[in-house]
Amino acid sequence: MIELLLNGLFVGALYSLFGLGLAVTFGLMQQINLAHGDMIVLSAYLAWLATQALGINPLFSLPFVALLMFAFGYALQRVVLNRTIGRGPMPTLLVTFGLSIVLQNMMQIGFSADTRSLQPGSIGSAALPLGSFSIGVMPLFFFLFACLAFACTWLVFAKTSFGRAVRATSDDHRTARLMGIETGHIFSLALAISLSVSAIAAIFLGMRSTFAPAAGPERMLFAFEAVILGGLGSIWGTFFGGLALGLAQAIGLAIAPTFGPLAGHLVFLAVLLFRPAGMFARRNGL
Amino acid sequence: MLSVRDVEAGYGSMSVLFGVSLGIAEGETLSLIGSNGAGKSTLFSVITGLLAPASGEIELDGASLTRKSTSAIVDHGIVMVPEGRKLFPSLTVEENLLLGAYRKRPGDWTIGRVLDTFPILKELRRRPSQALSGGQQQLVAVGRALMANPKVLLCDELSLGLSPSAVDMVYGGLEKIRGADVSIILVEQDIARALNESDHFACMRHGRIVLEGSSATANRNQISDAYFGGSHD
Repeated sequence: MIELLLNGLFVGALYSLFGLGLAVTFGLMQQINLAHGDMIVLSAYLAWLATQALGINPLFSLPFVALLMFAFGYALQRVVLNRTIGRGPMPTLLVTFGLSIVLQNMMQIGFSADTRSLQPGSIGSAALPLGSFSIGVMPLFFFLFACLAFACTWLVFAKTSFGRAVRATSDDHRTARLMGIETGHIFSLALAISLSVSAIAAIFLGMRSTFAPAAGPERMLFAFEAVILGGLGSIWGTFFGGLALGLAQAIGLAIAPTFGPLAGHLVFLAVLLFRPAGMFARRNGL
Repeated sequence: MLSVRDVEAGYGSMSVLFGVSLGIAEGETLSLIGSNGAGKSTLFSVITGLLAPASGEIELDGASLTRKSTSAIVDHGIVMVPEGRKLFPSLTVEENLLLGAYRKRPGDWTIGRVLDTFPILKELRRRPSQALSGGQQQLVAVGRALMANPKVLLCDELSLGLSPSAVDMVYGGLEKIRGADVSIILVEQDIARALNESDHFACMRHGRIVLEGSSATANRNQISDAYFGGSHD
C-alpha cells in the first residue's frame, strides 16, 4: 500500500512539473498556451540531441535545454504573443493552437514519428531498500527536484519585484505601464521562465518514459488538469494538483489495470464539480 | 518645471487636443477642470507617454520627454494616479504600494513614510486590495504613486465614485502631500473642490485651454462660461 502511494506521488510530481510552466502562463499571466505540451516534447528532443551529440547523461543536458527554451520563450512572447495582449483570450488561443500544429509537424519531419527516450544510465536502476520494499532513486530524485523547482518558481513570482510586475501586468496592462513596468519585456521573461521549467519536466519525462512528436496534447492534458485541480493562480496548488492526479491514477491502477488514467480524470471532474475554482485557488498571493 | 507646449494629439483620425500649453512650477498644485470629453484624460495620456502626440513638446526641468516611453517618463519623475483607482486585484495593499517603487527612483518616499502619511492603511497592508472601501483604495492609489518618488503627480478624478466622507478623507490625505517637493496636477469634476485644493487652475473645452488663472482669485462666472462655452450676463 505504501509502495503504491509512493509511486502515485512520484508520478504525480512529474504531472506537477508538466503543470508548473502552465501555472505561470495560464494561472499568473492569464494567457493560455495550447502549445505547452508540444514545447515539453520539443525540450525532450533537444535533450535527446544533446545526449546524442555530447554523450552526456540527460540530466546534464538540463542547463543547455533550459537556456534554449528560455530564449525561445522570450522571442515567442516578444515577437508574437505580446501582440495579442489586451485583445481577449481568443487571439492567444488561436496563435498557440497554430504553433502546436507547426511544432508537431516540424518535430515529425526532423525526428520521424518513432518514439524515443532518454537513457538514464545507472541512476535508472538504482533503488533504496525500505524494509519489505524498495523505492527507485530516480523517481525520488525527480520528486525532490520537483519540490525545489516549485519552491524557486514560487519565490520568484510571489516574493520578488519581478513577480509582482507579472501579476500586475496580467491584472491591468495599461495601469502596469503607468507604474513604469515594461510590460512586453516582463511578459517575455515570464514565458521564458515558464518554458525553462518545462524543460525539467521534459527531461524527466524522457528518462522515465517515451516521447514522440504527437505526444504534446496528452502532456498538455495532464498539465491542464494539475493547474485546474490546484486552482488558478496558485503555484503550490499546481504541485498538489499534480500529486492528487498521480495518486488517483495509482489507486485506479490498483483497482484495475485499465482504470488508472480514467481515475485521474474522474478526480479532476469531481473537484471541478465541488470546488470549481480548484483546491487551493486564492485571490491574493500565491 | 513641467512644461507642455502646443500639444496636438488624438486617436487615429480623431483629433482631441488642439495646441494645448500649460506649465507648473515645483511644489505647485494646478487643477485642470473641464466637462467630460474636454481632453483632460487625453492630455494625461500624452504627458505619461501612453499616447504619442502628433506635435508639440513636453519638458521636465529642461529635459524633453516628448515621445519617451512611459517607463522613461516615470524615471524622470512623472507619475499618475489613474481614474477609478485601478489597484491590482491580485496584489495585497502592501504589494500594490511596493509596485509603485518598481523603477527604484531615489527619494524620500518609502513604504514607512506612506503608511505614516496615511495611517489608516497600516492595519490594512496585508489585506487584498479589493477588500478596501473606495476611499481607502484611493489612498492606496495615491500612496502607490508616491512610492515612485514623483516630481509631478497627475491625479485623475480622485473623487470619482466616492462618498462625500471618502472624498474628504482622500483630499485630507492629499493636503499632507501638497508642497512636499511634489507638484500636483489635479483633474477634478467638482470645481469648487478643485479651486480650493489648488494654487492655479486651467479650464479645458473641446481640446483647448480656454481659461487659466489663480485659484484664489478665480471668477466663478468666467469659469462657468469657459466650462460650458456660454456667455454669462
